[in-house]
Amino acid sequence: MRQSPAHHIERSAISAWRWTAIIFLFIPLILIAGSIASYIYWSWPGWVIALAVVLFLIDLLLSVYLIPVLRWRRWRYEVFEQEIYIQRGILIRRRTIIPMLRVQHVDTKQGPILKRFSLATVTVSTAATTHEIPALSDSEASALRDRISQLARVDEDDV
Amino acid sequence: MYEKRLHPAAIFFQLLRTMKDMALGILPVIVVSFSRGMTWYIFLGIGVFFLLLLVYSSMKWLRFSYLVTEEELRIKQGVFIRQERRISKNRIQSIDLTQALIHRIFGLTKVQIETAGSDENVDASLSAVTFSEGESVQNELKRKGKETETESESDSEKEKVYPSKVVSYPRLALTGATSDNAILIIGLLWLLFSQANQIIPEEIYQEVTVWVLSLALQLLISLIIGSVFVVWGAGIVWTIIKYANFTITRYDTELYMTYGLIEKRQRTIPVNRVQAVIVKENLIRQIFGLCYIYVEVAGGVSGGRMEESTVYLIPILRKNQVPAFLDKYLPEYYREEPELKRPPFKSIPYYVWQGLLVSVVAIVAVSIFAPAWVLVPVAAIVLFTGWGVFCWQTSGISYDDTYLNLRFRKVSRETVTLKKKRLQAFEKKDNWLYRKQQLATIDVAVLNNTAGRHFIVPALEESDITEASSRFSSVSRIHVGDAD
Repeated sequence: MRQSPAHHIERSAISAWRWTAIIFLFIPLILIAGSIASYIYWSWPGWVIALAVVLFLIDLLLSVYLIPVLRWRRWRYEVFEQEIYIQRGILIRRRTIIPMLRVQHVDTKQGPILKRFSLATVTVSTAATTHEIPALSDSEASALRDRISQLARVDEDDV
Repeated sequence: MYEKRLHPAAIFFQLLRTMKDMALGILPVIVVSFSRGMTWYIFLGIGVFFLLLLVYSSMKWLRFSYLVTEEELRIKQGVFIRQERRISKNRIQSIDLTQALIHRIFGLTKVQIETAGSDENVDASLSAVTFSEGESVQNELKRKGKETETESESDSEKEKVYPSKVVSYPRLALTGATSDNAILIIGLLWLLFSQANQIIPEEIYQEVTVWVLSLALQLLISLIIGSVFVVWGAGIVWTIIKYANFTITRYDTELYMTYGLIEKRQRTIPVNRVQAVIVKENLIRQIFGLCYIYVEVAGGVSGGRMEESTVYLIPILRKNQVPAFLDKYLPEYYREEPELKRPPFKSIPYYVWQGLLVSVVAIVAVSIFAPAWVLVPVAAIVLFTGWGVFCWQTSGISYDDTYLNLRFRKVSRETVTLKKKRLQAFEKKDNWLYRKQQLATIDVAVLNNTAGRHFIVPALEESDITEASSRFSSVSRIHVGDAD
């Protein structure tokens, strides 16, 4: 497991993840609003607001700017005849091999944001684990799903 | 309707079960009504309710019928919603005969049929049949269609002596005495003995006038110690009752375990369902060179009772007898003492840092809030670090073309034997520090009766994991070179 899997996922995944992150920015925004409100009504100290704003900025920088890029760079996959090879993780890099024999079913799924970028996620389930290949283009995802499901259609020996 | 029915006692069992389920809901109503002095109505109400339950249970019994055919088990059931279930023999994982106390009084048994997966709803159970019927159902279901032709052969096989082993009562007592709970209790005892002097303040000894009080204190302490002993003893007795006459027998393709004094359990495990064999030693047993062996088995556990999800091959065994035992009962997983490759010295920090972090945080917190007690977390540093090194010292990996062995410690030391073709997924984890030092963490998953089990050994030599993965995977290209 020295070599990375060959294929990157779709580059537009970065934008999709950014949009997701932007939507989730509402949490630090609520914090800011809360701190302003407490400043006005319960006269909390002003640095609480500053802290909330700093938090917001850090979140903005990390989850919107940095993490999607890092994540995309790390995410790779490759489908062989007898196994699926996936690499993921930002700080902790995980490389997983899933034997085709063990694949129970394959799904594609697509949320509203992924749909806007016409991306889809392929989910591979074994009896014991579930693995994702996120953000492939629509057609690629369905092709991959069909391919895996075909490769997995082997006589199972006993599980 | 199929021809076979449960024993009528099933009505009674159904009744009991329903009442047990409903007791909690109804009790408050009864209590409230009693306090309002409407006893008469209550008795009437209970009577009617009981009658309804009885009718319902009888209906349920009447509507429940089953049949074992050449290929499958058929069950018809349901009072309002009729349900017909067919379970093909091939899909059946295991057939358990369980006898609760009531079953044993009537000479009955419960038959639980388990299929793959964790969905209880696809399993079947016959809540009460006579014991001989239970055994014949078990035998009929085990006999696959194709094997019926070779029946003459199986007759001759009956002559064959299958290996079998019974765990003696003294052995079981030892099991109870060294169980995980026992460790806690013994630890508590030790603490009490060693601290007894501190607990009784010095002044009390000096004040002779209040010697009665000191006597009372001593009495109290001996009471505590006594009750700890009682709990320990109860644990031993409980283990003996639960695993009494533990017998393991190896048939051609199955392992058969039976145990229990009051509730008798029988488990049949097809050998090809075994996913992993684990030798586990807790601290005390490790000192005495004892262990137990359990297996991870693919397939549902009926009733979903957690304690039964551990499938013991044997509840206690000498560590040095493990290879001989496996060779006899589960040669599929027999390995001569595999050469375990230990993690290198440079991975010690990764075993220690979590404990260190916790103790450092504790020291900071304690020195701020209760500076007098600062020695406690300082001692914790030594303890946690020592524990981390201990875990590091335990870890190990070994692999060849068919097997993967892992050893690790959370609290107890566990040595796992896995077959590579049984793995559901093979994962290698690292971060940039690990990569720099050529370390990696291995995480392999196998199927078991719940959601699957992961075996993780942190901070091993990267080359070992890559080597193991290359034996596991058929694509050799990904295991060589160094891209990324």
